Amino acid sequence: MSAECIEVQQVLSMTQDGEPVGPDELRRARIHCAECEDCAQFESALKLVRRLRPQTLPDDLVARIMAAVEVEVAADRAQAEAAHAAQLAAAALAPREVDTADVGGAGTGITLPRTRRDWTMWGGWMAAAAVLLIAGGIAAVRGAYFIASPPSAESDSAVRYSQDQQWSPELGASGEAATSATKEGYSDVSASGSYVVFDGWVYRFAGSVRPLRSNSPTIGVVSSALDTGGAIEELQVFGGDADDKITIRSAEDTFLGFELVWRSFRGRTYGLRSGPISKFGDWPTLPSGVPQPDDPSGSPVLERSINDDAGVAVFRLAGQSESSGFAVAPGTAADDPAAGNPGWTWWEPFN
Amino acid sequence: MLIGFVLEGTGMAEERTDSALISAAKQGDTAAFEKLVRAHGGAVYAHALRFFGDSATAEDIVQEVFLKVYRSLATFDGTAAFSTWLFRVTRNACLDELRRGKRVPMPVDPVDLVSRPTPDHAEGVIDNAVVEQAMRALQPEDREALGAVTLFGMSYAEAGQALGVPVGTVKSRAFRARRILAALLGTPGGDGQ
Repeated sequence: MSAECIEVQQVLSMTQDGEPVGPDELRRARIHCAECEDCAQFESALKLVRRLRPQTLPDDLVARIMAAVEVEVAADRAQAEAAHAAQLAAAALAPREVDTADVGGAGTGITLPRTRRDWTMWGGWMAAAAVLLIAGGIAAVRGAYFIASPPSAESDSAVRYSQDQQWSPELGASGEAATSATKEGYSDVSASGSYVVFDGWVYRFAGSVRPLRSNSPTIGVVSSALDTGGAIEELQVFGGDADDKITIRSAEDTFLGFELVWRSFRGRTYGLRSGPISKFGDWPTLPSGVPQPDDPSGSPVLERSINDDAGVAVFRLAGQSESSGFAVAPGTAADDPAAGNPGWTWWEPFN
Repeated sequence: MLIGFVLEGTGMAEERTDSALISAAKQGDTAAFEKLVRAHGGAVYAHALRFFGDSATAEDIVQEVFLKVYRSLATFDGTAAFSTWLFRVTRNACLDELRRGKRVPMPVDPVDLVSRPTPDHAEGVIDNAVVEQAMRALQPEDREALGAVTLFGMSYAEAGQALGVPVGTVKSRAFRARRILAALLGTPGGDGQ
């Protein structure tokens, strides 16, 4: 390749980047390209590269970014309001030189009691400060209560159980028995969650289902006492219509439907993983191999990552990608798949 | 720098300067900030994707970058172009991630590209994925210089300032990157031929 070729290609490259190139140089390059196959093909390669335009961000990614920004906005606003309140309080409590000077007279050094108007205003600020203190106190007490005694499965699962029963779409031949069980056998469940673990995945009780054929193939067993209060039993598991649904035959020969507990992260389904759950009322635990964090920040084993698709903060194992699994902190909201979870939960890609 | 974007559905082009969007965003207008994200997010994503070769990581970087940008909006005085600032933040985010050792760029073997059948450029047969893969096979400093000018629309002088190298170095890196790309894509004119 000649020195002229290199020079011409440099001119072409600069033209692509919008750098100033003299008209003579450009004309010379064009003439050269018309005669030189190498440089003509180099020019066509430049077109390929130029054709690459930054792609548009997917809407869900923009939504995640904006959700995170909104969190920042809310935090900024709260901080600004707190600072403003503190400023007002400080201003209200600060001695007012002009008052003492007016009353006592310049240079007297005498400080006299404030006027009635001052006392009234001061009293108003004190009242406002008291409201803030009370609100803060309530928050502190609730926080301390949460730390000392995390929300138990009881209060939350009472709601869930009710929802589960409403969800149950199929009360078949076993409906009566199941309903009976619902009213009596599951009465204890109203104070707890209704989970089983199958193949490491957590499934939540979703209602009674029609009895399966006697020759229906089983896909494994679940070890659980369910709600019986008795011993743990090995219960047969049958596959559902979809991978995220299973059916369990209870010791009383009723068929119970369960659904995978899952959340969406980057458009993908992540199922809840857990160590063994021996009975209804027990909460999922971190599976073996996932270390327990020491504090609410996830430290030292977890670190804050981005939010899931519902805006819930997820935590990845330090130094690892969240794509293969992530944790969610205790105390998620009532509409979360692990609502009221008193401990850390662990989620992995499902299928 | 003037960034143009099109109002979807209307076909009408609306142009607002980055500085106008930034001013609005500084006043708490999150819709303006979202327009900045949409206008520039693609460049950030492409840079991170070429850096790490992994879309999930690239998405994380995009989110991290724009959060940093949002947090630092107040400090952006407009003396440099927004895209120049954004390039710096993006570059640092990628390098920080690399330094932390959490993410490692996925290697690209140029042999895989060279062994492909020679594409017919005149027919435009070669697809963008191949060109992107070739981009990832470039030396990082060459790719960075080329990305600064092609993805972020910076001049050689702006890129030189952002990269901390002379203008001539940006020029030669961008040129070298293009020659190597031409070679990798099976086009004569590159060093590999």
